[in-house]
Parts: sequence; C-alpha cells; structure tokens
Amino acid sequence: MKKFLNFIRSMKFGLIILLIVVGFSVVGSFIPQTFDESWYIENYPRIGNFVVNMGMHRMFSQWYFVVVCILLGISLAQATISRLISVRKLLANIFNVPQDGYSPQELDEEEAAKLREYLKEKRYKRYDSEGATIYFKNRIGYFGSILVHFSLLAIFLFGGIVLALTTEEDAILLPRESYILADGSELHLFSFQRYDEETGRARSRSVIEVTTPDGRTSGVREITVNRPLRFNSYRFYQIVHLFAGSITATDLTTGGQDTFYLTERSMLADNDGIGIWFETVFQGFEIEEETGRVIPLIYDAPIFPNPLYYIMVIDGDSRDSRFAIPGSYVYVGNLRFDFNELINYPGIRVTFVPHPFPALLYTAFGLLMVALYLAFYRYPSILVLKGGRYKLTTLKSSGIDLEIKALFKKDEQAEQEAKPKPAERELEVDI
Amino acid sequence: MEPLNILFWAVLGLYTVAVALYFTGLAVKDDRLKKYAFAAFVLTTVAHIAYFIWRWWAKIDVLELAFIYAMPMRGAFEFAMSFALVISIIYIVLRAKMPWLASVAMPAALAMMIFAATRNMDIQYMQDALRSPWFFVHAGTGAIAYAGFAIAAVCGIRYLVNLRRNVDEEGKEMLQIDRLSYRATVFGMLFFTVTIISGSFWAIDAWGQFWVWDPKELWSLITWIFYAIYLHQRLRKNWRGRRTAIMSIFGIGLVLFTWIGVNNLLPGLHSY
Repeated sequence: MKKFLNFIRSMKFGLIILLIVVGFSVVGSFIPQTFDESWYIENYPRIGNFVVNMGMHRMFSQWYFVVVCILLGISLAQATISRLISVRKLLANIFNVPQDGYSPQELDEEEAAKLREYLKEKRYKRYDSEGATIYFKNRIGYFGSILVHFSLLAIFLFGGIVLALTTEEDAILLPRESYILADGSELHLFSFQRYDEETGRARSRSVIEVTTPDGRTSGVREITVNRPLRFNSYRFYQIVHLFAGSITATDLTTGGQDTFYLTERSMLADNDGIGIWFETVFQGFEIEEETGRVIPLIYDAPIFPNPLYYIMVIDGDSRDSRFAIPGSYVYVGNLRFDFNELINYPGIRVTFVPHPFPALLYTAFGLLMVALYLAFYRYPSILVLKGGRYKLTTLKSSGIDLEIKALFKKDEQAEQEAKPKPAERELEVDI
Repeated sequence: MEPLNILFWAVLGLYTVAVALYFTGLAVKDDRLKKYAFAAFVLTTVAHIAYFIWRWWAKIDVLELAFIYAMPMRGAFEFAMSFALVISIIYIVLRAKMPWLASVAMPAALAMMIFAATRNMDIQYMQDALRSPWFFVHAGTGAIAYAGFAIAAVCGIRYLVNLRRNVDEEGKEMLQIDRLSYRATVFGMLFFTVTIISGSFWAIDAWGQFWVWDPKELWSLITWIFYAIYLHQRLRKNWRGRRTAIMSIFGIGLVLFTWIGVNNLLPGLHSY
C-alpha cells in the first residue's frame, strides 16, 4: 500500500497520466466527436460498431476518460501540496546560515569583491547573520511552480464543471415568434437580417429579447456571430441562418391579407378547405429543352439561387400539383396567393452555464499566466557568502551558477597563462 | 500581377539572395560575404514588414474590415508569411549574441516563405466567425509561439551538429545554444498558453463552449503537454544538452503537424 501511495505521489505517475491523456487526444482527433452513432457504423464498416460500443465517438465524456482526469487532478493536487510544504520549510529557514555545501575554493579579495558587485548589480537583497552574508532575490518565484500546478488543477476542476453543467439547445424561430426555455424564460425574436444594409455583405443579425418568468427582461438586444447575449446564466448565440418560404394570402372578398413563413408542409386554406398545400421549396431548377419540363434541383450547400415553390392547389375535390417561382401568384376560389422571395431566419443556440463557474475558470486562466511568469522569469536564488566561500541555491536552468562561474573565468584563464607550460614544468621536475 | 503580390515575390527573392550570400560566405570562409548577407537580410526583413503592413491595410480596404480583424494571419499563406517574419525579427534581435543563428534562422525564414508561396495568396473573404477581437490575440500569439518553438528547434539542430563535430558540451557556445533553446521554449510556451486561453475565450463567444474537443484543440493540447513535460524535466531533473535538443526538434514536428497537418488531414471547426 505504501509503495502504491508513493507511486501516486511520484512525478512518474503524473507523467504517465499525461501520456495517457495525450493518447486519448490522438485517438479523439482521428475519430470525429460530433456525429450520431449511425454515422460511425456507416463510415467505418469494419470498426464502426467497436467505436460506438467503446464510446469512442463521445470519448471525452466516457467513464474511462473521467477516471484519467480524476487521477491527473490527484497528481496535480499532490504536486501542489508537496511543493507548498517544501517551499514553506525553505522560506522558514532562508536566513539560517547553512553549515556545508560551500564552494571548495576560497575566493580571494578581488573575486569576493567581484561577486558582491555582481549581486549588487542584480539587485540582490542582503542580510547579515552568524558571520555570513545572505544574498537573496525573487523569493516570490518559489511560488511559481506551486501556482502552476494549482492553477492547472483549478482549470481542470472548473473547466470540467463548466463542460459538465453546460446545457445547450437550438431555438429555431421565425421573426415575431417566441421560444420557451427550460426554466420558463421566453426568447422573442423581433427580426433577423442576413445582410448588412450599409455594405451589402453577409452578416447575420438577430434582434431578440429575453424575459424571465418573474418578469425581468434583457431588453431588446442585437446578437451577431461572436457577440452573444449574456443574461441570467444564459447565453444566446447567432449560430446559423436558414431559409423559409414566404406566401402572402389575400382574401379578395374582404381585402384582408396575411403573410405566412413556411418551414414545413402546411395547408393554407379558407374555412371551406379551398386553398393551397405547401409541400416544399426546391433550391433551384432547370427546364428541359426538348420537353419544357421543369426539373427541381437540390444542392448540398444551404443556398437557394433559383428557389422553386412546390404546391398543390386544392379547390373542392380537385388536386393540382404545381411549381411556382417567387413573384408569381395563383388564384384559388376567393383567395390569391403571392409567392414571395424566400426569407432568412436564424438558428439561435441557447447555452446555460451556472454562475460562478465561468468566472472561476477565467480566474484560473489568469492565475496560470501569472504562475508561468513567476516560474520562468522570476528565478529565486539565495547566495550565502561566508569566510570567502559561497553557496548558491537556485534552479540550474536559471543559469545563475554559470553567470557566477563566468565572473571568475578570466582570472582562471590568466592563472592558466601565468602557470609554466607543461614542458617547462617537466623541466623543473627534472631539475 | 497585383503590386501586393509583386512585393511578396520581391521579398522572397531577397530572402533567397541573403541566404545564398550567407552560405557562399560560409563555404568560401569569407566574413565580408556574411556581412553582406546580414545586410541583405535586414533589408529583406524591412521589405517584409512593409509587405505585412500593406497586406493588413489592403484587407481593411478590400474586405471593409475593422483594423483589428484584418491582421494578415488568416489561412496558411498569411500565417506562414507572418511566421517567417517573426523568425527574421527574432534572428536580427539575437544575432549580436549568437551569430551562428544565421545558419538556421535564415533558411528557416526562407523555407516558410517558400511554403507560403505555394498557398493561395489572394485576399480571402473573412467569415463572420473570424471577425472577432480574439482573432488578433489568438493568431498573433500563435505565430509568436511557433516562432519561439522554431528557434528552440534550430538551436537543437545546431547542438546535435556540434556534438557530431565533437564540440565540447561544457564549452561556452554549447552552453549558450542549450540555454537559448530553453529560453526560446519558455518564451514559446508562454505565448502558446495565451493562444490556447484566448482561443477558449473566443470559443465561448463563437460556439458556446470554451472547449469542443476539435482536432486542432486536441493537437494544441498535445503540443502544450509535450512542452510542459520538456520544461518540467528541465527544471526538476535538469535535463539538458542532447536530450532537450532532440525534444526541441521533435516539438517543432508536433507544432507543424498541429498547424499544417491538422488543417489538411483532420477537418474540424478550425478548417477555414
């Protein structure tokens, strides 16, 4: 058991877990994580069933991935705590003069002066104690590594919570329609524009208002791509634009008129059942030269370059299937139906993320940046100078040890030059 | 050909001249040629900066974009061109301390420009989703981070080449190369972290989730973990020299796959 606990505490364990995360990420990047189960069975005839059965199409929400994340969290927590304990000990003893570990060579006066000058230049603080001088710098840097691990743990934790608790639904609604959300809030769409009026360029824009069951309102707000509305833990996104047929019905007797936006098969008729049956709108059409027959076209892309209404005129017992292009009209009984240009309408994505987790996640992101700065640009170092010998405590990667060695290097070179050459030395020995 | 494209080809030509001069100088051991090569490289970088600014301005004009959205880092051409520019600037800044950097940074910048030249260099329409202030931070820091990792990798290559030539591992040059590789990795890592974080902020605004397990996100995570392990081992286990040189070279392979490989092989939400 002790051996197991030691392994859990070890760096090796953390690295193994990270490598497992990498493995999952590689697999998850090659298997799309967005489609329905049937897609995998159709597109991967050999392994489709295996992919679905193992949950590899939703890999990052499977229990095995969650277990790996928990283990990584444990490793990060352990790394944070162990570093915190050791840094506390180190900082508590920072002004105690160490008894051993000093440089083997004693510095002469000139070298010691050079070292002091270097430390002064680098803005080390000094503290005299027990016949020694303690120079120290960037003590805050000791917290860098702790904060890196802690912030990663926080990102993991809050990120996981945000991902787990976020709910998402797509509201597809036509202008002047409302959509009721899970908590009873009402989303009302006032208008939708696909093109910017000034530039004529595509820029989807919905004007919406959200009202909670207790009457609080977001006010009338505009949402565009990248600019969602945040209100009451909800976010409303302009995600897609869709097309709908638009037919204006006029009652020739009364002069009354109404425009209908049609996204699905519908009946538009008077009380006697006389009117039209709207079947669909085709994206385009071509006319066969020889026969003059109209051939409707369907494209893969959501475009309608030549829309074509497909309707059925119903007048008593007669049923007459017809095509109609925008701008045309048809009379049925006392009604006139005008086929208008298609209209655009939006798909609005509504996400719900409970407070205050997003804010905590952002804070953790900020903390990570501060922590990385402290860890890599604020190297803590302590140099104790006692009786002409010194002891440096710092990270090797800081390069401070090399800088200090370089202070004495010229002198070493000069010494080397001053020393008799090997041949001369041999001669001396011979004598 | 449009004047903007003419300038691009001129910059590419200048890079070629500078690199050719440098390697000729290296081959015939003529320091004067190397100096001319550096002068040509500085001139090239100035022209490159001019091209970068002109393209930015042209995008504002042609696409009627706000300044912040028009930064030329959309698509493979613009990103590679910007990447090359960052490498050139880093080399010029570091050249006084590390003149040997020329032998790797100059061809690296040229290679990036040649890669850019093979891509579509037309000013392309910017989808609504790309028109976000986060684009500036996300793509900008990405290019800087990649350049940092590239410098670390070229240091790694230089280190291994020197090792084959039996250069003393404890000598000043090798220590300097090793240290530069480390510092470039730290620099790259900081910016890469900003790239990922800013990407997640953008994702919340655009897609409604800060993380969607998209292939680009996953390979960015893999790259980040790789460099995190590198730095962790360097700080805690004092890994250095040959081992970290190899890691830096492997790292740039990951970076290139994340950038180019994922875009071409693993379509996802980042496929624009």
